[in-house]
Amino acid sequence: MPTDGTIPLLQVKNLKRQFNVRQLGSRENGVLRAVDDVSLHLEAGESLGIVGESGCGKSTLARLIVGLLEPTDGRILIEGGDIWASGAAGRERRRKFQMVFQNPAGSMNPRRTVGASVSEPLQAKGIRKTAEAVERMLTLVGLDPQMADRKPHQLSGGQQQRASIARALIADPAIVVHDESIASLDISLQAQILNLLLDLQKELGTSYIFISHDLAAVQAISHRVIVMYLGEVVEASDSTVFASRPLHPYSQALRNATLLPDPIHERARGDTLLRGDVPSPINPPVGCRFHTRCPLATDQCRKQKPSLRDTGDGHLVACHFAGSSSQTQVVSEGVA
Amino acid sequence: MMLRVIGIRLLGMATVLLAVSALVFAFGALIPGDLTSVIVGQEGATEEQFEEVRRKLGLDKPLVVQYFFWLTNALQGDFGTSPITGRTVAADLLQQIPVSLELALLTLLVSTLIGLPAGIVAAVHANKRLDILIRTSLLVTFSVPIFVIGILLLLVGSRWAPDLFRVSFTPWAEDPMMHIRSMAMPLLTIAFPITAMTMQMTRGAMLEVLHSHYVVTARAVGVREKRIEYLHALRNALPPIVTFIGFQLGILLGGLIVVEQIFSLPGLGRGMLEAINTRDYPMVSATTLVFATAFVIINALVDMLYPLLDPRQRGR
Amino acid sequence: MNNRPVLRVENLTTRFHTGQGAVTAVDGVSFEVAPGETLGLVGESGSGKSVTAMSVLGLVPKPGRIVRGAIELNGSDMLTLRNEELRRRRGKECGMVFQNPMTALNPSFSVGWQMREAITAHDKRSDVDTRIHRALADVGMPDPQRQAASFPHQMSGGMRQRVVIAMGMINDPQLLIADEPTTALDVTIQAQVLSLMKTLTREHGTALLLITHNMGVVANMCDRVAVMYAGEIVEEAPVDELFASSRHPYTRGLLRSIPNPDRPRQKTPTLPGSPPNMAQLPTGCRFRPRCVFADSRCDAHPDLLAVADRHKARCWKTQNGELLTETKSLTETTDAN
Repeated sequence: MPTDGTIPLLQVKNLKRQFNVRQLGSRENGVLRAVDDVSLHLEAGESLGIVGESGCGKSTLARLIVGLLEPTDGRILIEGGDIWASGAAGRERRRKFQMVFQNPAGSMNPRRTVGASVSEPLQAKGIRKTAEAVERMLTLVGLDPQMADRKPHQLSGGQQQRASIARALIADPAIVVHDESIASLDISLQAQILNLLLDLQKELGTSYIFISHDLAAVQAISHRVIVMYLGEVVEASDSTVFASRPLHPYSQALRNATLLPDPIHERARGDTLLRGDVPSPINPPVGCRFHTRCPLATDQCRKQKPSLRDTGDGHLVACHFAGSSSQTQVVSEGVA
Repeated sequence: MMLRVIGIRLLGMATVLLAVSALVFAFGALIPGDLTSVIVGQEGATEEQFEEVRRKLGLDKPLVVQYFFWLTNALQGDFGTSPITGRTVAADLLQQIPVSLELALLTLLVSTLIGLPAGIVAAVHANKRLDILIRTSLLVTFSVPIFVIGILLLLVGSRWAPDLFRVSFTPWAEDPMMHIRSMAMPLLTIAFPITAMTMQMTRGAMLEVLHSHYVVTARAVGVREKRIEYLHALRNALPPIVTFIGFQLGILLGGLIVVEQIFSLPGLGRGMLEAINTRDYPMVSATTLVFATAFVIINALVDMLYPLLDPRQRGR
Repeated sequence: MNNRPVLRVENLTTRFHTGQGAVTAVDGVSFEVAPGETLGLVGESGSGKSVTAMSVLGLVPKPGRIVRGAIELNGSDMLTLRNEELRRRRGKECGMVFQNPMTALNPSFSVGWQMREAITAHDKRSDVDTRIHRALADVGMPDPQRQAASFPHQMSGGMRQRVVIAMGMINDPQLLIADEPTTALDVTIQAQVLSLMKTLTREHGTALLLITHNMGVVANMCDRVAVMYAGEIVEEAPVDELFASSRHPYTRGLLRSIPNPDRPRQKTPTLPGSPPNMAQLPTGCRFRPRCVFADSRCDAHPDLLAVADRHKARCWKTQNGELLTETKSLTETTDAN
């Protein structure tokens, strides 16, 4: 939180979203806590990265933040106003978000031209003359403005994703949420899009929430990073600090599991593998949710849930032992 | 747990049937004119005579009460007496149901025995000569309406196989040989388009499965091609095919009306048509209810087959 | 020890005939895999790496066809074999692991049943159950008896991929082909599965042809690397040499365009443009439109030639002994592709 008392652009407070999971003929009518008590904030012009594996709730969180899903509990405030306030106020606030999805082809109407798709957010605002804005936006994302007349399938995957970025930015949103927006692109194109996003942020001052399973991609974009595990935030930190010293054992495992294009480093890698799979989010482990896979887990972890605490400089971590000297030694031997 | 599932299913079926019976009854009640006018006749009857008959039939009571009586009787197999024939509706139904049931089941058997293998072969040889041959020959029959096939068969039959043609319906109990001969033509008529549909559906389901990744996996570990096609793939194509065959029975019930009419078979379809023509309300309601019950039972059977065919439906 | 390569691919050309004309997905590809060696076949989508893998086992999907070349597995030419002989080699001499564990297993049959199929396709010995249980235990599955009876949908993605690997290895083949084996898995599971594959192939002396787009996976797993671009191999070298001194601008660009997790909010150098449309390939060098080093020599199509010991590249510049020193910055980023 900023200390000078101004309101952050986005505040997410104790956000929860549950899904009821029913199985016919089974008494296990479970509750899936996809997002469980998540709080975060985002300043104007800032990028917040959210990283985690499948089932950690990052995609549900993305949909909650942009208002595609209603929360079970908790609040989402933009410029201090609740996005689920009734009537026009809430609607107006939800319009300040845009989203870029993983599959650019699937998020654009195949029968409409690229230009028509890109202009959608403007038309939703009631703006009729959009041609000029579309042309300017396409140029800005590095596309030939003439591509406005083409159909999505006539564009390559990279071009389609550029077009969906143009669509997200055209109506001047406050926040663009990227949900795995580069995951389906070839590696050489991923870097292009990451750089484009950095350039666009400098130019337009848009805030990003960048959600991905790929730690390296998240780091490339983000000022701050949040690590999620089974619906909860386990670590939140400035990305530079996080790069040099991830504190939570899970963050360290994620960092260690990220393979680097360096055979010498890879050969020297210690075998600090996480045991087992991610447990089902329907009945998550009690105590610390990570204890079933954690190399440091003790009885305390199996019984008592660690709270998200500040270890200094706003570096938050949910681990009983994070930051203590013994912990850092055990888990970081794989990091060169 | 299995019992619980079956319990839920049965409850669902009962609900559906109750709703259908209410609908059937409501339609009967809402159609202008009622049983009274059929019995008493349109002309020359006095108002008192009408009232008398209405009271006897219980038609003067509120609709809900009438429905309740009708339903309790129907549940005991009593659908009333036909004012046209004077026989009980139940007796007529008991005569008609076996004829239609036999035709429907035979059709299903024949169409599946031919359509399923034909579909598999067509899918395996997709877009090659054999596939095109199977599809064109079967699909041509599909595009011709049942009554046209029926009449064509009648014409051809009278010309080339007069024996077969001349046979009028003979119950199995009377003369089994003659019975089979009397069922042959109706069966052919209705089985053609149903076989074509089964073939097309099987081909589609098989093609989809044959393109799936696990078929490639099976090939990559060296499983024989025939085994992949007829075991690995077919097993996965079965659920949609079985659903479709169950669904076809519904279409079949409609087809029966036409076929039974053309070949003068004393089945449900023909009975229904006659009852409609003569405004035999009790008969129409009862037949509709029989059709609906058959449909609901078939659907439930298919649903219960699903977990057997697809392990993912079995829960964990 | 026998020094004959397990797999020798010579001038392989695989073509897809479509309505719009023919697309040559694999164009004159040659490489060898030595016994026990791990060769990485690297490239982006459409580079032809997966089609190459499928060609080896004669599993190229329609309308694809191998039009030229030779594929020798353990010395016998796979392209001249009759179907039945080809089938007998699949799974027996060469196993395969696929990208998506969620779809690679048959949902209607138990895992044990499917592994039994893989064994009995080749021999009918009686100890099948023991072999299945041992294979499942080998890939780190707890309680193999119970796991053999379970269905794929009852397992996590990581567990399923272990089963797929167990099936690929169950007949103890001399070669395992793994096509993007960890792409569909979470990163922490990816690490487990790669480590498992490394251990298994080492213990059994199995050669591994690893197809991937992930340079981190290559660095972690491979002895040698062949880089594919637009249907051709453009560079081939031992792994350390490739990463330390790549001699093809594409390899160079690819290696540099991977973001470094330790340096947040920094621009990553990128390759400009995007991979070519295989139906309309550029004339001359196929990488030319994206190459910052291109000059007039690149009008002609270069061959794959030695540029150093055990190091080949398909580039006029490095073949003439010149170095790939950037005169222009590679960080052309926001241009249209």
